[in-house]
Amino acid sequence: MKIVKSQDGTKVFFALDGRLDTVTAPELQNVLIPAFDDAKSVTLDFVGVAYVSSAGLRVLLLGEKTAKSKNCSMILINVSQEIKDIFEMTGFSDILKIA
Amino acid sequence: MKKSSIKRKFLFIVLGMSLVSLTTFCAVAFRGSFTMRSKVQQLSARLGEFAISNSNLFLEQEAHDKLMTKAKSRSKIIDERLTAIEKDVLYFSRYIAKLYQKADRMPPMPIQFSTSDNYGKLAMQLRSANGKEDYPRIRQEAHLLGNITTAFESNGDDMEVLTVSLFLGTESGFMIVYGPFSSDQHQKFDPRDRPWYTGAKEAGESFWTAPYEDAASGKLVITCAHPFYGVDGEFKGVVGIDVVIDDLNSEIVDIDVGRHGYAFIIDSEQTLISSREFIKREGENEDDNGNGANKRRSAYWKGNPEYNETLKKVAAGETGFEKVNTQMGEKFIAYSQIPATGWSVVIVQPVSEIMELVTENSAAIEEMTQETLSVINSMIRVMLINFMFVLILAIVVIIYLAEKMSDKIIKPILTLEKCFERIASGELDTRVEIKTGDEIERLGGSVNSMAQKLKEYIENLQQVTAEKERIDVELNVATKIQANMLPSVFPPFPHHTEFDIYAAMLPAREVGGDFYDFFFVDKNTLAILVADVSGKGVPAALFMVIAKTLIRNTALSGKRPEVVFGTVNNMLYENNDAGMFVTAFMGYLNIKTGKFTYTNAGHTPPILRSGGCSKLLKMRPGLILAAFESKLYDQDEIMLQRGDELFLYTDGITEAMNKEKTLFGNERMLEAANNNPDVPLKDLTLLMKHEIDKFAEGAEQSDDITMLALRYIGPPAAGENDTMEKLSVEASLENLETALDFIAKNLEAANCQPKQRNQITIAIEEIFVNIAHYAYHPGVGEVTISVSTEEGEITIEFEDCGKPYNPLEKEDPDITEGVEEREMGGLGIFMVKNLMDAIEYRRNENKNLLTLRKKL
Repeated sequence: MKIVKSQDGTKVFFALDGRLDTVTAPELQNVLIPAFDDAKSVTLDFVGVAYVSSAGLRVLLLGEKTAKSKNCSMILINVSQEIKDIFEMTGFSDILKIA
Repeated sequence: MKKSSIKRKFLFIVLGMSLVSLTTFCAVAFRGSFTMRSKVQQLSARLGEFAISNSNLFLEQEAHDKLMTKAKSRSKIIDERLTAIEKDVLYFSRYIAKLYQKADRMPPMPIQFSTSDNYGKLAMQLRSANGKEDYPRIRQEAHLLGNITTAFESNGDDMEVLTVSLFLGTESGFMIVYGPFSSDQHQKFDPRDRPWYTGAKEAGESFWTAPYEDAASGKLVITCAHPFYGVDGEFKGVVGIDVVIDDLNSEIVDIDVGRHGYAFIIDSEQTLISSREFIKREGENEDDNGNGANKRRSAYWKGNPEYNETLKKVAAGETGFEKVNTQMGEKFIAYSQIPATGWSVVIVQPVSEIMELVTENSAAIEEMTQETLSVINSMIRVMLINFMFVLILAIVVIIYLAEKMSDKIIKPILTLEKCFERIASGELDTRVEIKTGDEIERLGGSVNSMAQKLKEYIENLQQVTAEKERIDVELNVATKIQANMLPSVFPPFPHHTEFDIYAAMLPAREVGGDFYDFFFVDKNTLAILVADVSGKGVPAALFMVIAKTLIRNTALSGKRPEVVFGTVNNMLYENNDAGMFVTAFMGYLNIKTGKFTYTNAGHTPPILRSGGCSKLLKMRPGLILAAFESKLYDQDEIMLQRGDELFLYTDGITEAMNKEKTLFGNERMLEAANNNPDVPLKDLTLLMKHEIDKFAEGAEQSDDITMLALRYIGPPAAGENDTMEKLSVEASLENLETALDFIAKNLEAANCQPKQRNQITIAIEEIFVNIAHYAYHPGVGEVTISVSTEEGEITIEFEDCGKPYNPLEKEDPDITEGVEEREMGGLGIFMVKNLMDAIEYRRNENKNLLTLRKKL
């Protein structure tokens, strides 16, 4: 998975490209969680993501939990319908902020 | 140094010609020399013979003359000598007779009796019959006859060598001798019984005795005697002179007769008078019939008649020359009479002795011939050496001259060769300058113009080639485009087990007008198509693209085959200014039922292989496409049985030609199809092509060849699961991608929609990660994934030998919980349950078996 991080003050932006699965999920976790240390808002651009497995959902849940605890916000943008179906099916669409 | 081959040839030719002529010349010269040598040899031999025969005659003549001269001269000398002696004796007898007549006036002249004191001196001596006793009786007469002393002494002073003594004997019995042999013993001697005395007394005139031994000297002598008479004419005695035969021989007769010759005197009774051989003659034993005076011998030679015959002539007093045969070889005999005595001188000489000269002569000639020959031989030798010398010199000179001359000739050729090499290496501006004024100069001119033309031609060729290369590149691209337009991945539908299909297009040129196609019109209907566009090359290829696109698009709109052809025909016809057309065969196969619906637009009928028999699938052919406006195409249908095969092709097969312009034809094609039953479809097309190549015998392929083979297998029977795919790997995260790839491949084969593909992939990942994490923890083990597609449903089964674990027992997470309350685990299985249609777990033989199902 290709992850490009950009920052604008307290706004952090992650452009994701590829599959978010068991193998690639730890990569995202390693950059996403520390990002909440000095950011007020984190945006994940899902335009290049076509696939999310439970490991990916786990990272997103951990990210949301960290955001909540640090009083930050985490927003997902450009989420495809297929992935939205997954979020719907697992109840994540109620947890995550999807733009 | 590498020698020019022309140069060597030139050298060989010149050398060869020179050597042949030189050798011929020398051969002739040698032949002449050898002929000369043999002629000289012959000539010398003839000369020798001639010389011998001539010499024989000459020598014989010579011998005759010489021997005759000798014989005659000797007989003459002897005659003169004997005549002189006869005259002396006659003189003495007359002298004595006068003494008797003048007895009274003559003083007494006493003579001493013979005494040894006087031996060796010429002395007068007296001998008598009774010795000194007689002296008184004979004294008077002895004193008278003593007066002879003066006469005897005067004669004896100039006594010839021949003569030994002078003597007289009287009737009264005494004897007066003048000679050197005085001896006491001779005092007593009676002359009256001596042969000379009796002979002369009897003869009354001069008388020659036969040879006898002289009493006083012991030598062989002959005596000339003459009687003397008293006053009254009464016989008183005999006077005589002795001639020594040895002396006669050695001084007169037997000299100068050669080494083997001899001479002798015989009398008229063939008695030998004198001879060196008197006692011993060749070939005869010593005659022992007496001694002393009695030694009289005949000249007769026993056993030699010719010789003896000649002796008779000699005895007869003839003078002559003879050549006679004797036991001792041929002899020359010359004989001449001595008139004084009637004796004859005979000279005998062996012919061989004279002819020795001739033999010597011929030997000398032979020697000279040999010398001449050796001179000739040495001349030939010298000539040979000279020839060798000249030959070597000639070779050296010829090689030198030929080298120089050939250099002259070859240099321009070498220049040309270099020029050619440079032209060959690409230096086309090379020009050659040769000024020999012969063919080579003209050749040089030709080379120059050739190089010029070559240069122009190559420049031209480069332009043309560049142009052609450009076209080739474009055609190559076109060929690739065309090839890409035809489906070329086999099997094209791996998940379809109902049929097998293979197709190939072999263009005759770079781009062809043939094409084939196959595609699903709907879920169960496979369309197959083979077509042939009229013409070749790029125009045909372009028309083919249009036709193919129109047919496929029209077919995909769900129309029946004959409607497709009708529609496409009119569409192609409308814009066909080029007047091209297409023949085509198309059929729809229902893969579930085997029904084959087909239509034909002027195309060759396909082959149907059914139950081991091949036949053409004939129907009334419709119009070719694009030529006329028409919508009327028939269609026909057959039911294919399992295993039946269809073989579609273009006329590139049936109209393939060999070098004799014979067509391959339907018969051969059907035979090839019949001979190869049950082979894979790809092999069938390859075999067909192989048969065509074999038939064509190297003739170039004239038209595109397109083949499409279809085998109908039919839907799988109940329970049959032909499409089961399996993967066994170690259950670890490293192999996750392998597992997902395996699933993706199967999903693609099953024509799965992208959304479902994603859902199934997520489910597989969740299960695989689960097994990898928990089944063998903390060790590792294997997991087997099986995928099968059946009746629109995909079934995926996981099998592992890990700890018993039923994921379905796990409680579902509460998806309504807020973010703070949400558990981190349990989502995976929940997702699987939601994504798949069914999920089952079994524990069987220590294995965990998890089956996922989903309708496609």
